[in-house]
Amino acid sequence: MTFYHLEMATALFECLLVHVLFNGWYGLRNTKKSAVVLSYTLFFVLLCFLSLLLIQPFARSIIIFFLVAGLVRFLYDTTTFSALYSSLLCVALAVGAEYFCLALMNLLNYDTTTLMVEGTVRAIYLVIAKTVNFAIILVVAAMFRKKRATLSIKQVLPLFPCLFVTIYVCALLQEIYSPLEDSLSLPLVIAILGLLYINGIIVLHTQSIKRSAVAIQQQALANQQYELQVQYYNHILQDHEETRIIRHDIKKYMSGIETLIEAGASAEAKREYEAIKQGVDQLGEIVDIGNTVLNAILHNNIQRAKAEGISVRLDINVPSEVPASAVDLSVIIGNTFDNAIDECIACNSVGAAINVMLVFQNDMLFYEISNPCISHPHKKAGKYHGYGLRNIRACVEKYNGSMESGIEAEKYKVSIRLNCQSNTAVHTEAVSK
Amino acid sequence: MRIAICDDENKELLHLKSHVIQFEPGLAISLFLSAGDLISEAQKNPFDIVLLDIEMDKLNGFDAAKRLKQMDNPPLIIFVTNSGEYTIRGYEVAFRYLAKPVEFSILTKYLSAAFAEIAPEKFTVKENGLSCVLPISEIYYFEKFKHYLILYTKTVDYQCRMTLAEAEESISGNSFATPHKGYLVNLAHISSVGEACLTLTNGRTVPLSRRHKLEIERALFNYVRKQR
Repeated sequence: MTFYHLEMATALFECLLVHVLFNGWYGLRNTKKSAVVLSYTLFFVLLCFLSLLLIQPFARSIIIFFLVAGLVRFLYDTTTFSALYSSLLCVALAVGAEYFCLALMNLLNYDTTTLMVEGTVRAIYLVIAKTVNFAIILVVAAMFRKKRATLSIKQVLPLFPCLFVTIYVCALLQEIYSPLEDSLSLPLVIAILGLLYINGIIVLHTQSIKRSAVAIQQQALANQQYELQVQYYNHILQDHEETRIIRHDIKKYMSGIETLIEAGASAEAKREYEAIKQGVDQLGEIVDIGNTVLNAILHNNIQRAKAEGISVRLDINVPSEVPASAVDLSVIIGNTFDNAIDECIACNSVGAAINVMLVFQNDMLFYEISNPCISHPHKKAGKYHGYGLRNIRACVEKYNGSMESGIEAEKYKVSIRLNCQSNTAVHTEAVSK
Repeated sequence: MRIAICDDENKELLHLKSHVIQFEPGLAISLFLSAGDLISEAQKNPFDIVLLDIEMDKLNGFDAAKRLKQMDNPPLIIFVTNSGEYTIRGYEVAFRYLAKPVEFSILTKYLSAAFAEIAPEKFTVKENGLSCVLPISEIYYFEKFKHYLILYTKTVDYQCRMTLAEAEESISGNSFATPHKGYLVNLAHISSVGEACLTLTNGRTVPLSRRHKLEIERALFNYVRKQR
């Protein structure tokens, strides 16, 4: 009976392995949490049931493959074909890990028959096999991760000593318990279950910390976007105030000019006229492309460029609502614009200009920015330093887009395309208006 | 080709008219000092191209453009504005933007683009001995099928005896690219680029090979740049 508890624990551990792997690869669909729990409970029950059946390992693997494929297709954001081949890989990894551990145990003079019979040796063999499988899955999920919240290789590596220690402790337990008795003792079961639990919980907690870190970063970016909006609004207020003052003074100026002309002081009149004209010319510098989010992002950067004596040429054709997150647009445009300005300053060329093209066409957003440059662009110090190229790439990947950058005719050019279908799941964040 | 110019400043109106005549003498040009008059005339006799000032009294250029676009034969609208180089609005309404003072070279570029848009190039397809002439812009993609070539449009699919190379030659200079061996797709109809397929504006998908993905991405950008 104790052994079946252990089989159940390993089945539970397998559920965790499947979730770690496929959540890292595809991410969950927008399914209700209860549906996820229910599906995994069913999967767990079926795995337990399978462990009770006396069937060939190959037939068991085939059944598990179909179970995993069904679960993945139902719960994770993937196609049937992807679900099938990734489930095949998942089962292959599990079988590979088992055979690897089998060979290892054979080397330690435990024959295959002993390993397949209920008892201390099989229990320890199971834990070692699951631990090795877990290590492989963590690496595979990190290597082919599609979501930023998934652990990267760098974050997975510190978990490896825990897994090695687990295997080492298993070996020690084997040494202690194996000669004493064939059936499982309670302390051994508790130790084994504890090891499985510790490893599972460490990974789950590490993932949770990573998710929190990503959320904090998103919050910081959202704050950055908010600050841009506030700055834009303040600039509009300032512009409005200047317009009000000019409107208030215009009659006074006109009458002054009239008096000067009547007095024959045309040079003074012209000077006065130029002063008014300059005041009027300085108005209307507000960026208005019909999209408030993009207005704020572009306005802030254009003001910064102007302050550095850099002209900006815009070529824009976007709707008032772009089905892309305001934060993502801010990351992409803000960072590339920042880089372009810094490069223009580094170039120190007279009359430097930044060209920006932003076009929405057929559910795709095309963004291109180019600036003069003398070498490969370098970077930079600033408040949001760190949300650089890596974050731009992450945003582009979110939209299954593309990004290309390089030097062409002494200009550094970044071209980015985003797929922006309004029904795409990744665009459910704040939509730019 | 009927062209309308609408600006509430007579001086600007005449300046634009002289540029248009310089670009193509012999065009039928109508001048309007108010957007209301322009709309009344357009309802009776539609225009092909309208050069429209944005800042006008009563009915401004944006609102007038929206009303013109709702007509049965909407014109291509080129906005003329002095509201600052960073005020660019009118998505799906404006064909192009011209900043005042209007430069002849830019106006020429935009009018040439407008002429090309209005009079698109044609493609002749022969199916079962019958010839059919299609505007190239209506072709979604070509697919090689055995010894035939299938040509997909929004409504009808044609099967003709032609090679992909011959089709490519016939549409050379237009914006088509190869996403996969045996396919030639119109870049104007691509609505998303996936890992292994292109989705078109009619919902159909075309395979995209890893080898051709970068080519397609670059071709798309070139196409968008060319459209500007």
